[in-house]
Amino acid sequence: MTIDDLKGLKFFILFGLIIFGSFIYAGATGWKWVNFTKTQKEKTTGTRATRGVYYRYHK
Amino acid sequence: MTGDNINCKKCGTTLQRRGKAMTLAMTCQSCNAYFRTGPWNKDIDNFVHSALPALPIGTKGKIENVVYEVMGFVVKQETKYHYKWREYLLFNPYMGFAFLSEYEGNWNFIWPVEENPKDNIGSETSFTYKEQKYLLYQKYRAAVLFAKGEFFFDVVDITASTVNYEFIAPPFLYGLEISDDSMLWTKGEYLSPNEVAAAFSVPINMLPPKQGRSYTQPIVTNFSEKSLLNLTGVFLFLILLSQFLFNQLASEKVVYQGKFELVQLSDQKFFVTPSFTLAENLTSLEIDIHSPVDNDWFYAEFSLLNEANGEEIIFSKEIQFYKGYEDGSSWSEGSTRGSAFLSSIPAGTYHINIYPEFGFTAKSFSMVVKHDVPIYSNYFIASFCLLLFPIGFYIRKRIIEGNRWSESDYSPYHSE
Repeated sequence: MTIDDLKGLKFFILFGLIIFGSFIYAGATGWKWVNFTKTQKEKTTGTRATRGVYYRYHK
Repeated sequence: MTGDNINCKKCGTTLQRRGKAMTLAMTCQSCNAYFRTGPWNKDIDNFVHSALPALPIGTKGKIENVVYEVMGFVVKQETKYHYKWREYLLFNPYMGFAFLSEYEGNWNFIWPVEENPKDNIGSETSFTYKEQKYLLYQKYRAAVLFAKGEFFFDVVDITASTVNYEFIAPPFLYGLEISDDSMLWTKGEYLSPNEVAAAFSVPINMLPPKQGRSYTQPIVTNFSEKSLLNLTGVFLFLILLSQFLFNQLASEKVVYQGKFELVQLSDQKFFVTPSFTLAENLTSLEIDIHSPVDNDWFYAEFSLLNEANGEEIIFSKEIQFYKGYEDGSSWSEGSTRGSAFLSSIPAGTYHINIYPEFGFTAKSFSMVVKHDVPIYSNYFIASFCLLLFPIGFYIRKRIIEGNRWSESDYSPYHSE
Protein backbone atom coordinates (compact mmCIF):
# COMPACT_ATOMS: atom_id res chain seq x y z
CA MET A 1 0.00 0.00 0.00
CA THR A 2 1.57 3.22 -1.16
CA ILE A 3 1.01 6.86 -0.31
CA ASP A 4 -0.76 7.23 -3.65
CA ASP A 5 -3.11 4.40 -2.68
CA LEU A 6 -3.90 6.14 0.59
CA LYS A 7 -4.54 9.40 -1.25
CA GLY A 8 -6.79 7.58 -3.69
CA LEU A 9 -8.67 5.97 -0.85
CA LYS A 10 -8.97 9.10 1.30
CA PHE A 11 -12.76 9.20 1.10
CA PHE A 12 -13.00 5.53 2.02
CA ILE A 13 -10.58 6.09 4.90
CA LEU A 14 -12.68 9.03 6.10
CA PHE A 15 -15.85 6.95 5.77
CA GLY A 16 -14.23 4.05 7.61
CA LEU A 17 -13.06 6.29 10.44
CA ILE A 18 -16.56 7.77 10.82
CA ILE A 19 -18.08 4.28 10.93
CA PHE A 20 -15.45 3.05 13.35
CA GLY A 21 -15.77 6.15 15.56
CA SER A 22 -19.54 5.84 15.62
CA PHE A 23 -19.24 2.17 16.47
CA ILE A 24 -16.93 2.90 19.40
CA TYR A 25 -19.18 5.71 20.64
CA ALA A 26 -22.28 3.51 20.34
CA GLY A 27 -20.56 0.66 22.16
CA ALA A 28 -19.38 2.94 24.94
CA THR A 29 -22.78 4.53 25.47
CA GLY A 30 -25.02 1.52 24.93
CA TRP A 31 -26.53 3.08 21.83
CA LYS A 32 -28.22 0.52 19.62
CA TRP A 33 -28.38 1.87 16.08
CA VAL A 34 -31.40 -0.12 14.99
CA ASN A 35 -33.72 -0.59 17.93
CA PHE A 36 -37.16 -2.04 17.36
CA THR A 37 -38.23 -1.05 20.86
CA LYS A 38 -40.14 2.18 20.39
CA THR A 39 -39.85 4.45 23.38
CA GLN A 40 -41.48 7.62 24.49
CA LYS A 41 -40.06 9.97 27.10
CA GLU A 42 -42.13 11.81 29.63
CA LYS A 43 -41.36 13.94 32.62
CA THR A 44 -43.53 13.36 35.68
CA THR A 45 -44.33 16.59 37.46
CA GLY A 46 -46.20 17.39 40.64
CA THR A 47 -45.33 14.20 42.36
CA ARG A 48 -42.53 12.92 44.44
CA ALA A 49 -42.03 10.36 41.75
CA THR A 50 -41.12 7.43 43.86
CA ARG A 51 -43.86 4.87 43.38
CA GLY A 52 -46.48 4.09 40.86
CA VAL A 53 -49.33 5.09 43.10
CA TYR A 54 -48.64 8.65 42.05
CA TYR A 55 -49.16 8.03 38.36
CA ARG A 56 -52.17 8.06 36.21
CA TYR A 57 -53.70 4.78 35.22
CA HIS A 58 -52.56 4.16 31.68
CA LYS A 59 -54.88 1.41 30.54
CA MET B 1 14.56 3.78 -60.43
CA THR B 2 17.63 5.07 -58.63
CA GLY B 3 18.75 4.54 -54.99
CA ASP B 4 15.92 5.42 -52.64
CA ASN B 5 13.58 6.23 -55.49
CA ILE B 6 11.22 3.89 -57.28
CA ASN B 7 8.82 4.35 -60.17
CA CYS B 8 5.13 3.63 -59.76
CA LYS B 9 4.36 0.42 -61.58
CA LYS B 10 1.09 1.84 -62.81
CA CYS B 11 1.69 5.47 -63.77
CA GLY B 12 5.47 5.62 -63.72
CA THR B 13 5.71 8.51 -61.27
CA THR B 14 9.03 8.58 -59.45
CA LEU B 15 8.44 7.99 -55.75
CA GLN B 16 10.83 8.41 -52.84
CA ARG B 17 11.08 5.47 -50.48
CA ARG B 18 11.42 6.61 -46.88
CA GLY B 19 12.13 3.07 -45.81
CA LYS B 20 14.72 2.61 -48.54
CA ALA B 21 15.31 -1.07 -49.32
CA MET B 22 13.12 -2.17 -46.40
CA THR B 23 10.02 -0.97 -48.18
CA LEU B 24 8.43 -3.98 -49.84
CA ALA B 25 5.08 -2.47 -50.78
CA MET B 26 3.80 1.07 -51.19
CA THR B 27 1.19 3.29 -52.74
CA CYS B 28 1.68 5.90 -55.43
CA GLN B 29 1.15 9.49 -54.37
CA SER B 30 -0.19 10.31 -57.83
CA CYS B 31 -2.48 7.44 -58.84
CA ASN B 32 -2.95 5.82 -55.36
CA ALA B 33 -2.11 2.41 -56.82
CA TYR B 34 -0.76 -0.17 -54.38
CA PHE B 35 2.16 -2.22 -55.67
CA ARG B 36 5.01 -4.41 -54.46
CA THR B 37 8.51 -3.07 -54.96
CA GLY B 38 10.06 -6.44 -55.76
CA PRO B 39 9.55 -8.80 -58.67
CA TRP B 40 7.76 -11.55 -56.72
CA ASN B 41 4.31 -10.08 -57.22
CA LYS B 42 3.52 -7.73 -60.06
CA ASP B 43 -0.15 -7.24 -59.13
CA ILE B 44 -1.32 -3.68 -58.80
CA ASP B 45 -4.24 -3.00 -56.48
CA ASN B 46 -6.57 -0.08 -56.75
CA PHE B 47 -8.71 0.57 -53.71
CA VAL B 48 -12.37 1.40 -54.04
CA HIS B 49 -12.42 3.02 -50.63
CA SER B 50 -10.58 6.12 -49.60
CA ALA B 51 -9.69 7.53 -46.20
CA LEU B 52 -7.68 10.33 -44.73
CA PRO B 53 -5.22 9.37 -42.00
CA ALA B 54 -5.56 11.37 -38.78
CA LEU B 55 -1.78 11.10 -38.51
CA PRO B 56 -0.40 12.04 -41.96
CA ILE B 57 2.37 9.97 -43.55
CA GLY B 58 5.72 11.31 -42.41
CA THR B 59 4.44 12.62 -39.08
CA LYS B 60 6.86 11.96 -36.25
CA GLY B 61 5.90 11.23 -32.69
CA LYS B 62 7.51 10.01 -29.49
CA ILE B 63 6.06 6.98 -27.75
CA GLU B 64 7.79 5.64 -24.65
CA ASN B 65 10.77 7.86 -25.44
CA VAL B 66 11.22 6.40 -28.93
CA VAL B 67 10.72 8.65 -31.95
CA TYR B 68 8.61 6.93 -34.59
CA GLU B 69 7.71 8.10 -38.06
CA VAL B 70 4.38 7.26 -39.64
CA MET B 71 5.24 5.18 -42.70
CA GLY B 72 1.95 3.70 -43.76
CA PHE B 73 -1.76 3.82 -43.13
CA VAL B 74 -4.34 1.10 -43.77
CA VAL B 75 -8.06 0.71 -43.27
CA LYS B 76 -9.01 -2.86 -42.44
CA GLN B 77 -12.36 -4.56 -42.29
CA GLU B 78 -13.22 -7.66 -40.33
CA THR B 79 -14.70 -10.25 -42.66
CA LYS B 80 -17.47 -11.63 -40.42
CA TYR B 81 -18.99 -8.61 -38.71
CA HIS B 82 -17.65 -6.05 -41.19
CA TYR B 83 -16.47 -3.48 -38.67
CA LYS B 84 -13.58 -1.29 -39.76
CA TRP B 85 -10.53 0.06 -38.02
CA ARG B 86 -7.38 1.89 -38.98
CA GLU B 87 -3.74 1.01 -38.51
CA TYR B 88 -0.66 3.18 -38.78
CA LEU B 89 2.70 1.61 -39.51
CA LEU B 90 5.40 3.32 -37.44
CA PHE B 91 9.14 3.04 -37.89
CA ASN B 92 12.23 3.80 -35.88
CA PRO B 93 15.64 2.91 -37.36
CA TYR B 94 16.82 1.33 -34.09
CA MET B 95 13.62 -0.13 -32.69
CA GLY B 96 12.12 -1.33 -35.97
CA PHE B 97 8.45 -1.10 -36.80
CA ALA B 98 5.36 -0.86 -34.64
CA PHE B 99 1.69 -0.07 -35.12
CA LEU B 100 -0.93 2.29 -33.87
CA SER B 101 -4.38 0.79 -34.13
CA GLU B 102 -7.45 3.00 -33.92
CA TYR B 103 -11.10 1.94 -33.64
CA GLU B 104 -13.81 4.49 -32.91
CA GLY B 105 -11.27 6.87 -31.43
CA ASN B 106 -9.72 4.23 -29.17
CA TRP B 107 -6.03 3.60 -29.66
CA ASN B 108 -3.57 0.76 -29.06
CA PHE B 109 0.17 0.90 -29.52
CA ILE B 110 1.31 -2.49 -30.83
CA TRP B 111 4.78 -3.84 -31.43
CA PRO B 112 6.14 -7.23 -32.55
CA VAL B 113 7.69 -9.44 -29.90
CA GLU B 114 9.99 -12.41 -30.22
CA GLU B 115 8.63 -14.34 -27.25
CA ASN B 116 5.72 -16.70 -27.54
CA PRO B 117 3.70 -15.82 -24.44
CA LYS B 118 1.26 -18.67 -24.94
CA ASP B 119 3.89 -21.28 -25.76
CA ASN B 120 1.18 -23.94 -26.03
CA ILE B 121 0.36 -23.46 -22.38
CA GLY B 122 -3.19 -22.68 -21.38
CA SER B 123 -6.41 -23.25 -23.22
CA GLU B 124 -7.41 -22.01 -26.63
CA THR B 125 -9.11 -19.03 -25.08
CA SER B 126 -6.67 -18.02 -22.37
CA PHE B 127 -3.11 -18.20 -21.13
CA THR B 128 -1.09 -16.80 -18.28
CA TYR B 129 2.15 -15.02 -18.97
CA LYS B 130 4.31 -13.28 -16.38
CA GLU B 131 1.59 -13.73 -13.75
CA GLN B 132 -0.97 -11.99 -15.94
CA LYS B 133 -3.92 -13.88 -17.34
CA TYR B 134 -4.83 -13.05 -20.92
CA LEU B 135 -8.26 -13.95 -22.30
CA LEU B 136 -9.14 -14.38 -25.94
CA TYR B 137 -11.23 -11.38 -26.99
CA GLN B 138 -11.50 -11.92 -30.70
CA LYS B 139 -10.48 -14.21 -33.49
CA TYR B 140 -10.92 -12.82 -36.97
CA ARG B 141 -9.88 -12.52 -40.55
CA ALA B 142 -9.61 -9.14 -42.19
CA ALA B 143 -9.13 -7.44 -45.53
CA VAL B 144 -7.44 -4.20 -46.43
CA LEU B 145 -9.91 -1.67 -47.79
CA PHE B 146 -7.44 1.13 -48.26
CA ALA B 147 -3.72 1.66 -47.91
CA LYS B 148 -1.47 4.67 -48.16
CA GLY B 149 2.28 5.05 -47.72
CA GLU B 150 5.00 2.44 -47.41
CA PHE B 151 5.07 -0.99 -45.85
CA PHE B 152 7.82 -3.39 -44.87
CA PHE B 153 5.64 -6.32 -45.84
CA ASP B 154 2.85 -6.92 -48.29
CA VAL B 155 0.12 -5.64 -46.02
CA VAL B 156 -2.69 -6.54 -48.44
CA ASP B 157 -1.69 -10.16 -48.95
CA ILE B 158 -0.61 -10.77 -45.36
CA THR B 159 -3.85 -9.34 -44.00
CA ALA B 160 -5.88 -11.51 -46.35
CA SER B 161 -3.96 -14.68 -45.56
CA THR B 162 -3.73 -14.55 -41.79
CA VAL B 163 -6.02 -15.49 -38.96
CA ASN B 164 -5.75 -13.11 -36.05
CA TYR B 165 -6.17 -13.79 -32.36
CA GLU B 166 -6.24 -11.09 -29.72
CA PHE B 167 -5.86 -11.91 -26.04
CA ILE B 168 -6.41 -9.08 -23.59
CA ALA B 169 -5.51 -8.16 -20.04
CA PRO B 170 -6.29 -4.44 -20.02
CA PRO B 171 -4.43 -2.25 -20.69
CA PHE B 172 -2.34 -4.90 -22.49
CA LEU B 173 -3.04 -7.26 -25.32
CA TYR B 174 -1.20 -9.97 -27.14
CA GLY B 175 -1.96 -10.41 -30.82
CA LEU B 176 -1.18 -13.50 -32.85
CA GLU B 177 -1.18 -13.54 -36.63
CA ILE B 178 -1.08 -17.01 -38.11
CA SER B 179 -0.74 -17.82 -41.78
CA ASP B 180 0.12 -21.08 -43.51
CA ASP B 181 3.82 -20.49 -43.13
CA SER B 182 4.29 -17.85 -40.46
CA MET B 183 3.36 -16.87 -36.96
CA LEU B 184 3.83 -13.40 -35.49
CA TRP B 185 3.21 -12.39 -31.92
CA THR B 186 2.63 -8.74 -31.09
CA LYS B 187 2.09 -6.98 -27.81
CA GLY B 188 -0.08 -3.93 -27.40
CA GLU B 189 -1.02 -1.36 -24.83
CA TYR B 190 -3.96 1.01 -24.65
CA LEU B 191 -3.24 4.67 -25.35
CA SER B 192 -5.71 7.42 -24.61
CA PRO B 193 -6.48 9.92 -27.39
CA ASN B 194 -4.74 12.57 -25.31
CA GLU B 195 -1.58 10.46 -25.17
CA VAL B 196 -1.65 9.96 -28.95
CA ALA B 197 -2.25 13.65 -29.58
CA ALA B 198 0.59 14.58 -27.24
CA ALA B 199 2.93 11.97 -28.73
CA PHE B 200 2.47 13.26 -32.29
CA SER B 201 1.95 16.92 -31.36
CA VAL B 202 -1.40 17.12 -33.07
CA PRO B 203 -4.54 18.81 -31.72
CA ILE B 204 -6.88 16.36 -30.02
CA ASN B 205 -9.72 17.46 -32.29
CA MET B 206 -7.72 16.20 -35.29
CA LEU B 207 -8.17 12.66 -33.99
CA PRO B 208 -11.38 10.69 -34.42
CA PRO B 209 -13.77 11.31 -31.52
CA LYS B 210 -13.60 8.60 -28.90
CA GLN B 211 -16.70 6.45 -28.70
CA GLY B 212 -17.39 3.98 -25.96
CA ARG B 213 -14.73 2.11 -24.07
CA SER B 214 -11.88 0.34 -25.78
CA TYR B 215 -11.59 -3.39 -25.25
CA THR B 216 -8.15 -2.74 -23.75
CA GLN B 217 -9.03 0.40 -21.81
CA PRO B 218 -8.21 -0.21 -18.15
CA ILE B 219 -10.58 0.62 -15.34
CA VAL B 220 -8.84 3.66 -13.97
CA THR B 221 -8.71 4.06 -10.22
CA ASN B 222 -6.23 6.07 -8.25
CA PHE B 223 -5.69 3.20 -5.84
CA SER B 224 -4.88 -0.45 -6.19
CA GLU B 225 -7.51 -3.12 -5.69
CA LYS B 226 -5.26 -4.82 -3.16
CA SER B 227 -5.03 -1.62 -1.10
CA LEU B 228 -8.81 -1.36 -0.98
CA LEU B 229 -9.09 -4.95 0.22
CA ASN B 230 -6.32 -4.50 2.77
CA LEU B 231 -7.83 -1.32 4.16
CA THR B 232 -11.28 -2.89 4.35
CA GLY B 233 -9.70 -5.81 6.20
CA VAL B 234 -8.04 -3.44 8.69
CA PHE B 235 -11.32 -1.67 9.46
CA LEU B 236 -13.22 -4.95 9.78
CA PHE B 237 -10.56 -6.27 12.15
CA LEU B 238 -10.68 -3.11 14.27
CA ILE B 239 -14.45 -3.38 14.57
CA LEU B 240 -14.25 -7.08 15.39
CA LEU B 241 -11.60 -6.38 18.03
CA SER B 242 -13.70 -3.56 19.50
CA GLN B 243 -16.76 -5.80 19.62
CA PHE B 244 -14.72 -8.43 21.42
CA LEU B 245 -13.61 -5.84 23.98
CA PHE B 246 -17.17 -4.56 24.43
CA ASN B 247 -18.31 -8.13 25.04
CA GLN B 248 -15.56 -8.63 27.63
CA LEU B 249 -16.30 -5.36 29.40
CA ALA B 250 -20.08 -5.72 29.42
CA SER B 251 -21.26 -6.64 32.92
CA GLU B 252 -24.69 -8.00 31.85
CA LYS B 253 -25.74 -7.55 35.44
CA VAL B 254 -29.26 -8.66 36.34
CA VAL B 255 -30.65 -5.71 38.27
CA TYR B 256 -34.13 -7.12 38.67
CA GLN B 257 -36.10 -10.25 37.99
CA GLY B 258 -39.58 -11.16 39.12
CA LYS B 259 -42.79 -12.96 38.36
CA PHE B 260 -46.22 -11.36 38.26
CA GLU B 261 -49.64 -12.98 38.53
CA LEU B 262 -52.97 -11.55 37.52
CA VAL B 263 -54.40 -12.38 40.93
CA GLN B 264 -51.90 -10.00 42.52
CA LEU B 265 -53.72 -7.10 40.94
CA SER B 266 -56.35 -5.74 43.27
CA ASP B 267 -57.33 -2.10 43.36
CA GLN B 268 -54.36 -0.99 41.39
CA LYS B 269 -54.27 -2.23 37.82
CA PHE B 270 -50.54 -2.17 37.48
CA PHE B 271 -47.44 -3.67 39.02
CA VAL B 272 -44.54 -1.79 40.49
CA THR B 273 -41.10 -3.33 40.71
CA PRO B 274 -38.78 -2.65 43.59
CA SER B 275 -36.17 0.05 43.05
CA PHE B 276 -32.92 -0.95 41.43
CA THR B 277 -29.74 0.96 40.78
CA LEU B 278 -27.96 1.39 37.48
CA ALA B 279 -24.38 2.12 38.47
CA GLU B 280 -22.88 2.65 35.01
CA ASN B 281 -23.78 5.86 33.24
CA LEU B 282 -25.15 5.72 29.69
CA THR B 283 -25.37 2.00 29.25
CA SER B 284 -27.95 -0.29 27.81
CA LEU B 285 -30.86 -1.97 29.52
CA GLU B 286 -32.46 -5.15 28.26
CA ILE B 287 -35.81 -6.35 29.51
CA ASP B 288 -36.65 -9.98 28.78
CA ILE B 289 -40.29 -10.93 29.24
CA HIS B 290 -41.81 -14.37 29.32
CA SER B 291 -45.46 -15.27 29.46
CA PRO B 292 -46.73 -18.86 29.10
CA VAL B 293 -49.20 -17.96 26.37
CA ASP B 294 -50.65 -20.82 24.35
CA ASN B 295 -52.76 -19.81 21.38
CA ASP B 296 -53.02 -16.57 23.24
CA TRP B 297 -51.41 -13.16 23.66
CA PHE B 298 -50.02 -10.92 26.35
CA TYR B 299 -49.47 -7.19 26.16
CA ALA B 300 -47.98 -4.74 28.61
CA GLU B 301 -46.91 -1.15 28.71
CA PHE B 302 -43.84 -0.40 30.78
CA SER B 303 -42.65 2.80 32.32
CA LEU B 304 -39.02 2.96 33.45
CA LEU B 305 -38.94 5.76 35.95
CA ASN B 306 -35.92 7.64 37.20
CA GLU B 307 -36.70 8.21 40.85
CA ALA B 308 -34.32 11.16 41.13
CA ASN B 309 -35.77 13.41 38.45
CA GLY B 310 -39.09 11.82 37.50
CA GLU B 311 -38.13 11.14 33.90
CA GLU B 312 -40.03 8.24 32.38
CA ILE B 313 -39.17 6.06 29.45
CA ILE B 314 -42.33 4.37 28.22
CA PHE B 315 -42.33 1.34 26.00
CA SER B 316 -44.59 -1.60 25.28
CA LYS B 317 -44.26 -5.23 24.42
CA GLU B 318 -46.64 -7.76 22.95
CA ILE B 319 -46.15 -11.49 23.14
CA GLN B 320 -48.22 -13.96 21.19
CA PHE B 321 -47.86 -17.60 20.41
CA TYR B 322 -50.17 -19.71 18.27
CA LYS B 323 -49.91 -23.28 17.12
CA GLY B 324 -52.06 -25.83 15.39
CA TYR B 325 -52.34 -28.89 13.21
CA GLU B 326 -53.43 -28.49 9.64
CA ASP B 327 -53.31 -30.65 6.53
CA GLY B 328 -51.27 -33.33 8.24
CA SER B 329 -48.60 -31.07 9.66
CA SER B 330 -48.24 -28.97 12.74
CA TRP B 331 -47.46 -25.29 12.67
CA SER B 332 -46.66 -22.56 15.12
CA GLU B 333 -45.96 -18.88 15.02
CA GLY B 334 -44.78 -16.32 17.52
CA SER B 335 -43.04 -16.96 20.80
CA THR B 336 -43.70 -17.00 24.50
CA ARG B 337 -40.76 -14.65 24.97
CA GLY B 338 -40.09 -11.07 24.04
CA SER B 339 -37.34 -8.58 24.61
CA ALA B 340 -37.13 -4.83 24.82
CA PHE B 341 -33.92 -2.85 24.54
CA LEU B 342 -33.31 0.62 25.91
CA SER B 343 -30.27 2.58 24.74
CA SER B 344 -28.06 4.95 26.70
CA ILE B 345 -29.79 4.93 30.07
CA PRO B 346 -28.21 7.37 32.57
CA ALA B 347 -27.02 6.04 35.92
CA GLY B 348 -29.49 6.31 38.78
CA THR B 349 -32.14 4.59 40.81
CA TYR B 350 -35.12 3.33 38.86
CA HIS B 351 -38.23 1.25 39.12
CA ILE B 352 -40.61 0.00 36.47
CA ASN B 353 -44.37 0.40 36.40
CA ILE B 354 -46.03 -2.35 34.40
CA TYR B 355 -49.54 -2.02 32.96
CA PRO B 356 -50.44 -5.52 31.73
CA GLU B 357 -53.25 -6.80 29.56
CA PHE B 358 -53.78 -10.54 29.74
CA GLY B 359 -55.39 -12.72 27.12
CA PHE B 360 -57.56 -15.72 27.79
CA THR B 361 -55.25 -18.38 29.15
CA ALA B 362 -51.99 -17.01 30.47
CA LYS B 363 -52.45 -15.17 33.72
CA SER B 364 -48.84 -14.49 34.59
CA PHE B 365 -45.58 -13.24 33.18
CA SER B 366 -42.01 -12.93 34.35
CA MET B 367 -39.44 -10.28 33.67
CA VAL B 368 -35.62 -10.08 33.83
CA VAL B 369 -33.91 -6.71 33.62
CA LYS B 370 -30.25 -6.75 32.60
CA HIS B 371 -27.95 -3.79 32.70
CA ASP B 372 -24.97 -3.13 30.41
CA VAL B 373 -25.53 -5.80 27.76
CA PRO B 374 -23.37 -5.99 24.62
CA ILE B 375 -24.91 -4.89 21.33
CA TYR B 376 -24.23 -7.28 18.47
CA SER B 377 -26.36 -5.68 15.79
CA ASN B 378 -24.12 -2.59 15.66
CA TYR B 379 -21.22 -4.85 14.74
CA PHE B 380 -23.06 -6.31 11.77
CA ILE B 381 -24.32 -2.91 10.62
CA ALA B 382 -20.85 -1.35 10.84
CA SER B 383 -19.30 -4.28 8.97
CA PHE B 384 -21.97 -4.06 6.29
CA CYS B 385 -21.44 -0.31 5.90
CA LEU B 386 -17.68 -0.83 5.53
CA LEU B 387 -18.27 -3.48 2.88
CA LEU B 388 -20.49 -1.15 0.85
CA PHE B 389 -17.51 0.63 -0.70
CA PRO B 390 -15.67 -2.48 -1.94
CA ILE B 391 -18.98 -4.05 -2.97
CA GLY B 392 -19.78 -0.93 -5.00
CA PHE B 393 -16.29 -1.03 -6.46
CA TYR B 394 -16.70 -4.62 -7.62
CA ILE B 395 -20.22 -4.05 -8.95
CA ARG B 396 -18.92 -1.12 -11.02
CA LYS B 397 -16.01 -3.23 -12.20
CA ARG B 398 -18.34 -6.09 -13.14
CA ILE B 399 -20.60 -3.76 -15.13
CA ILE B 400 -17.65 -2.25 -17.00
CA GLU B 401 -16.16 -5.66 -17.71
CA GLY B 402 -19.55 -6.91 -18.89
CA ASN B 403 -19.79 -4.00 -21.31
CA ARG B 404 -16.21 -4.52 -22.43
CA TRP B 405 -16.93 -8.13 -23.34
CA SER B 406 -20.38 -7.52 -24.80
CA GLU B 407 -18.94 -7.32 -28.33
CA SER B 408 -16.76 -10.40 -27.97
CA ASP B 409 -17.64 -13.92 -29.06
CA TYR B 410 -15.58 -15.22 -26.16
CA SER B 411 -17.04 -13.29 -23.24
CA PRO B 412 -16.56 -14.94 -19.85
CA TYR B 413 -19.62 -12.99 -18.67
CA HIS B 414 -22.16 -14.05 -21.27
CA SER B 415 -23.10 -17.49 -22.43
CA GLU B 416 -25.00 -18.18 -25.61
